Amino acid sequence: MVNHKESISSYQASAIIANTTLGASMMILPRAMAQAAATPDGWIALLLMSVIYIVFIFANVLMMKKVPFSSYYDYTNEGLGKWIGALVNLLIIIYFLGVASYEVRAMSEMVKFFLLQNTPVAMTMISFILVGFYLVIGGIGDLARLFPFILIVTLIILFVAYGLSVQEFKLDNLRPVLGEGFSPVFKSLNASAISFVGIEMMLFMPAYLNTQKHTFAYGTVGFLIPAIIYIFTYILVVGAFTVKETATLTWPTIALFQSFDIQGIFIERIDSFLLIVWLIQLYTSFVGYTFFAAIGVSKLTKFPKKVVLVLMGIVIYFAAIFPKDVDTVRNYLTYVNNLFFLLFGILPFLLFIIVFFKRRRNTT
Amino acid sequence: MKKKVAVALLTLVLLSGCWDSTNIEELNMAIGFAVDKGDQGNKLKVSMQVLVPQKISQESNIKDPTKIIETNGDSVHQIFRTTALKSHRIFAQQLRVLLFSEELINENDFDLVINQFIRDNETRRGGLVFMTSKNPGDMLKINDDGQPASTTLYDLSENRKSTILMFKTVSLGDISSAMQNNVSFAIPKVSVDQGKLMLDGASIIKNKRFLTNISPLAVQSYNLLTGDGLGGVIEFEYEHSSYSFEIFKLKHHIKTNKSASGKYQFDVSVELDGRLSEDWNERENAFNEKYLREIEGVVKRRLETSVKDFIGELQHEIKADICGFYQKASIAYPKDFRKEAKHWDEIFSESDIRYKANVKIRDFGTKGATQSL
Repeated sequence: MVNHKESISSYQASAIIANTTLGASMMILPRAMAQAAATPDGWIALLLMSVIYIVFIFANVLMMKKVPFSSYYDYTNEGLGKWIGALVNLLIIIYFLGVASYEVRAMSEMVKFFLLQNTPVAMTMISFILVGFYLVIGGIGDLARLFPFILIVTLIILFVAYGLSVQEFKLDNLRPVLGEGFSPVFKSLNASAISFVGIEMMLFMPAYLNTQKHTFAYGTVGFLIPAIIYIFTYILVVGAFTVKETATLTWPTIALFQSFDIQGIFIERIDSFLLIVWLIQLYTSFVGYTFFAAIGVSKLTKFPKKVVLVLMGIVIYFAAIFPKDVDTVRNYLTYVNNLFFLLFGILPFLLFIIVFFKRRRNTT
Repeated sequence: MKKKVAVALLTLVLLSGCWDSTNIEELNMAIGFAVDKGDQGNKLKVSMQVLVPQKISQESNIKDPTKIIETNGDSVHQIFRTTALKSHRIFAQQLRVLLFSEELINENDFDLVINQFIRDNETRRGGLVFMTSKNPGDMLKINDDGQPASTTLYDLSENRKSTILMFKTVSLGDISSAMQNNVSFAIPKVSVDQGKLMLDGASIIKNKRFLTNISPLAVQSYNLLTGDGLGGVIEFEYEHSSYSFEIFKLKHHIKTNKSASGKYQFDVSVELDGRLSEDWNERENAFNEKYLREIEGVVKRRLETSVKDFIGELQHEIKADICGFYQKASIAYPKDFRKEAKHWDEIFSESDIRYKANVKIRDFGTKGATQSL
């Protein structure tokens, strides 16, 4: 699992980031945005948020150039000392496992509702977790080979599906632009932030990269792919349904693909393709998070990898079945989101200052 | 070796069946629903047109391969489940058409009636919705030489390119959106003509309830006003002769203004390109430029009067904005509109709508004159 000999290229690293970021949000983002603000300006909020994230990536890359580190786990230890560092690493692991179990829960809800109504949830969850672990055991090299392939398939299917759904799109539903000024845009900024969770993977990647030259490029590309998909999703869904209707739909993106049939080609419906893509993206997010969580756990506890995975599997499974209903899942997500801002929004800057001065003192 | 055998046996067990499978003969594949007021004090009656696979496989193509199941109840979902008492489970993935009766929508809010259809994971938002003033359950029984009623209605909706008298198709999702935005809208209406189903004008829904019906000619004016028409023929009479004008292209533009007193003014201009496709005039001479201009002028005047009559009817008798002017107002004056949205239909009734048509005859077919020149 922690095999440092295997190295990945920058292109593979962007695929890992993009696949990890694309997850459950793709299907619920339009509703979250429409509920936050009643104007069809959510796409402006998404654009703004993308710019903020890119600036953030840029700042992190500058810091990584100045103070290089191989993994965020080591970085926290170096900056905060053995004990506090271990505590922070534990928080990071909890955050990763939290997101991973959220993906498992989202997957099982979706499979139960749309695909397999009579299959027990435990069955789908456990098989999903096991298949995920199968890839995690293979190590970063296997992730890096599989993820670009999945990403390309996803992009092709989404491109065709979104292209066909343009027939439902009405520009008037997205107008007026900024009809009520900027305040609704700011209101929905917060709702959009959570969709981009996944970019923090770049802080854990340096150890595996074969070159450190293109850090900013791969981070930005990996981030922009999901960002562009999200913006298009929002525009197409709200353009087809109006904001008020979008706010009432549980799975707005799937509803969009259920509202038309295609005539003339041998397939009439594309919602099943979309569900496949979504399932695969949930899988890749899950694998991304569990992989880096597993590395954290084995660094922290020095347990053999089989023990680590068994422990994690139990924790993820029970964390996933713990929330009673969909609303609880959403509350649980806000905690995860706060943890994200704490661990990857504020902490990197703090660590940079500490480590920078520590290293300068050591050299002199 | 033992391990391999175990794996092979395990795959045999795991791959041999699907947890959620149902044999196709055991499914009631619904292609059309008719929702009406219930009998014996029940709120609803749903007639379901379901495909019978055994009938499809039979050789004769003439026989209608469907059957109708009627169930009464107070909620849509319970009706589906009650149906399971007498027949196989209803499977709505293939649903194409939903037919609602005026009487039902007169007494119940439309959004409540369709609530289950929208919420359900099986019924798709793309199902086409129609209204009828008669008993919708009986309409589903009308088959056209073996073609089930639901399929007939679905196919008819594709004829919008050939006739301008047909209202645009409205899907379940469209209705849900319109009601979420709390605006008036219209749905194509079905009636029976000599034992056949016919799309006959449209029904207007205001405040989530049925309001009134409009005739196919009013639908023509609607299509010319909103630019929804895709093609079709406009007939008119001029100096005791009949003429037909076939529309090729319809270009549509609306300008929105608001006066200081708060009155809206919509300037609708429409450009029509088409063919003079029928001419009963004995001194017809389409080779003459002047003659064509004269006919263009007549078409223009006829269209403008009929559309203006329609606007008058909408504003003063029906008092419902089914043409989507609210959207233009919300785009042009978003801040004002937020306050006006609640009583938009009254503001619409008082607003000033101007209509201008511009007609161009592009060609006149393979015959241009009746008399020798």
